[in-house]
Order: sequence, then C-alpha cells, then structure tokens
Amino acid sequence: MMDHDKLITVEDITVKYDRITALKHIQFDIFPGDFIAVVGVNGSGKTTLAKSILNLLRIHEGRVVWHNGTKIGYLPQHAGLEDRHFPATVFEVVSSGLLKDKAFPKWLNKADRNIIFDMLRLFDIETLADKRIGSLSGGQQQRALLARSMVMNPDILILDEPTNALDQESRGRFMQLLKSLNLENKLTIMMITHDVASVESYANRILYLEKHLLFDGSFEKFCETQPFSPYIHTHPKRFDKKGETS
Amino acid sequence: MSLFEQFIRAFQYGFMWRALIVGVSVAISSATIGSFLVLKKYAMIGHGLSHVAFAAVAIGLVFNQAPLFFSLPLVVFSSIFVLRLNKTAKLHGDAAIGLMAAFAMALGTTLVSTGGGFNVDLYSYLFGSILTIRQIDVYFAIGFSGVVIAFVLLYYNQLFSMTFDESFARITDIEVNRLNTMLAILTGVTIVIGIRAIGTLLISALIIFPAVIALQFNRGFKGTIGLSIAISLFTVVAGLLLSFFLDFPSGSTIVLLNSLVFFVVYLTRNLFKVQY
Repeated sequence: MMDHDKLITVEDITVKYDRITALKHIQFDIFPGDFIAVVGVNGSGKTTLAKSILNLLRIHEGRVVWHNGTKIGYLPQHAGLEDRHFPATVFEVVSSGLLKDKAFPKWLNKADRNIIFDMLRLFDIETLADKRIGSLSGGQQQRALLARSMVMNPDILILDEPTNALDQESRGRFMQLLKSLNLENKLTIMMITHDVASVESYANRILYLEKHLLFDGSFEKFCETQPFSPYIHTHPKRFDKKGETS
Repeated sequence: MSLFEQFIRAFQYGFMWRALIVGVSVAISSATIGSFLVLKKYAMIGHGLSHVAFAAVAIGLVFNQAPLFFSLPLVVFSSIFVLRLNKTAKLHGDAAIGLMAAFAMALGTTLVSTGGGFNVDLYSYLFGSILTIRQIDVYFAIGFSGVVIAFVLLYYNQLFSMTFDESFARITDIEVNRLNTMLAILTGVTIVIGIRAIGTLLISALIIFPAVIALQFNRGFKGTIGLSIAISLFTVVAGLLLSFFLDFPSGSTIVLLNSLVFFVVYLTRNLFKVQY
C-alpha cells in the first residue's frame, strides 16, 4: 500500500522505563477501517504501545508517524475517574473534546453545542448531560468518554481495556457500538484488551504483544499459529480445532 | 453604640477599605487557583509555599527591606521547583513539599532568632493584620488578582480539560506543561498577595478550604469554581469585619470562619443527609 493510505506508521520503536525495556523493535502500520485488537498478558507493553502512538511517552529508538494530520481519539484506562467525586458534568466532559481552540472570549457556540448533543444522543446519554460524571454507571461513563473523543471527529480511536469495568450486558452493548462506528462511520479502531475472545467477532486484526510483536494478522490465523499463547486455551474455538488431537 | 453604627464606623477608616479591597482580591484569586490545585491533588503546594513565604518575610525583615519584595520571586521560584520535582518522579510530590516547608521554616526561624527585635512585625506577617496594609499592597493585590482572573478566563477550557484528564489534554495538543508552569507561578503570586491580610502561615487555608467546601455541593466544574469564589468572598469579608470588631488577627478569624462553614456543610451533608 502507498504511504498516503496509511493513518499511522510505527517504525521500529523501542521504549524503556529506566532500565527496563517495555517494547522492543515494534513495527506495523495502521490502515483506514482497521479494527485492531492488541492482546498480551499484563506487562507485555500494551498500554505502553498505546501511549507511544499517542506521543505521551519518550520513545528511545524508532518513531511513530501520523500521516496527513491523522486525528486521534483516546479512551484511557481510568480517564479522570480515579476521583469519583470530580465535579464535572457529562456535558462538560464531552465538550472537553472540542475545547482546544476555544479560548476566551470564544466559548462553545451553537454549532458546537449541536455536535455535543448529537453525540450524547448517539450514545444514549442525552438525559444525563447535567449529571456528574462520577454518578453514572460504568457503561454510561465509558460512553460519555467515548463521546468526548468522538466530538473531535477522529480518524482513529485508541481504547485501553475499555470494557474492563463493565458487566456482561454493557460490555456487549459497548462492543456493538464500537463495531457500528467502525463499519458505518469508517472509524479506525485500535483496542487494547487481555481478553481475546471478546474481540473475536469484531476485530479484523490481532496484534499479539510480548514486548516484541509476536503476531500481526487475523483472528483465525492467530488461533492457528499461536496455540500456546496464554489466551487460546480458554477459548472454545481452540478446543474445536485442537481438542481432539491434544 | 448599635451594631449598625459600629458597622458604619468600620468603613470610616482608610485601613478597613484597604483591607477589604486586598481581601476581596485574595479571596477571588485563591479560590479560583485553589479549585484547580485541590482537584489536581496539589493542595499541599499552597501549604509548602506559605512556609517559604515565611522564610522570605524573615529575610526581608533581617535586611530591613519590604518583605513582599523578597517573597514574590522566592515563592514563585519554589512553586515552579516543586512542580518540576513532582513531575520528574525522583521524589514523591508530597515528600518534596514536606522537605521544602521544613527547610523554609527552619531558615525563617533561625533568621528571626538572630534578628531579635522585630517580633511584633513578624507576628503580623504570620497571622495577618489589617492595620499594616498599605496603599502599595492594595495596588499590588488588585493588579495580581487581575492577572489570575484573566489567566483563568483565557485558559478556562484548557485548564478544565487538563485538570480532568491530563493525558487526553495532551493528545488534543493542549500545552499542559506550559499551563502547569503558569498555574505554579500564579499560585506563588496568590500566596504573596495574601501575606498581609491573611498571614504567611494561614494563607494556604484560603487555597484549600473554599474549594473543599464547594466540592461538597453536587455541582459541575463551573458551578464548583463559582461557589468556591462565593464562599471565599463571604468568609474573607465577614472575617475581616469580625476581626475588626473583636480585635482578633484577621487571618485566623478568616480561617476559623472557613472551618466553621466546612463543618456545618460537611456534617449536615453526611449526618443529616442534606442534599445541596
């Protein structure tokens, strides 16, 4: 593919925390429309990879290229919600996605408000606009934070374990929402997760990380080529394929 | 003399007007800056800096110079320094503040003991004294609180975004480091403005109390800052008047009033489940 088709290129990056190497020589491209799941055990460098792409960390070797002004949205693991009593309404949180160029006296104008309310409606949290973010359920909070990224109209959305704190039902709903953004809004998605089974029917690409990039390909291929990865043995598909022979 | 007459009499004195103008300026800037500091978990920076202000005042008195002249650069520099220490993670933020506060207090106390004869002066700097506020302090307070208000108005959106979620603010290209440095500088400035009316040892309370009280009310971000300013204004103005009538040090009266408001709000909310 030509360079202008790519959104992001990760060029052979190595990242260290003091003397501990968190990522070694990672290299891959992200293309428009991708739904990538980054999987790996704790400490395998998943969050470090996300932060490196987002330019939140110092990269020791290599570089990350955002092609043609790619706009990135981000849903961090705990997004400001370590403090459940933080005094911000859902509206204020979502509007912070639009705030960058809104210095006094340019406050949010009518068009901005329309964008925000459209997004609140899309994510079914319109009635919660004036509620404090901390008073919402886990699923509602995630949708509010997703709305905050979506008002920026990003080309790609990076999510760090977004469904961790959600119950089964909210998790399914949230994944459906991501899938429809991916298919209908052509939003490229890169999602970090430790639960590969949960992304099976959503992701078109799996990146399996263990400080090195051990695998980059489809879910089917992942099951075939990485049978001993820490995930597959818990996954029913593996037993279908390998159960009889092992 | 009736209470009303006493009230009118208070405003016949020039020093009372000066105290009120300085008080209102300090109340607004400390409550505004304090809201961000408390939510960013930097509340103790104000406490550490107030000790540095004490050392600066001691230096000023020893060299027979205007203490504010020494305080401003020293407190602002310390503020930026602590913020940097916090960021590099070589030292835990609260530990860094503890070190700075203890060092500054020791330095100030040693200087005071060598100086000997300025105890009355020092007392007024420690706990605030409305009688000592000069015209120049009034200009100083109005000017700098104007800067604080302008900064927050200009950068309100960016400040909100970075206070709620610093990583997200960074990826939306908000200059987080520059804003943090500005916040540190203005925290230092706010501490220095408050030295005369509130005193070096108690000014940090005015950064923390109004914000913490406002947080008890279930409001959004703008609402919380607005409430914080209102609470600060009320306690400072009422505290200054009370200190005049009762002949108490102004700083301690204001802080006691803040404590009272905090306990009333906190207890009614938690014991009697009053929803504000």
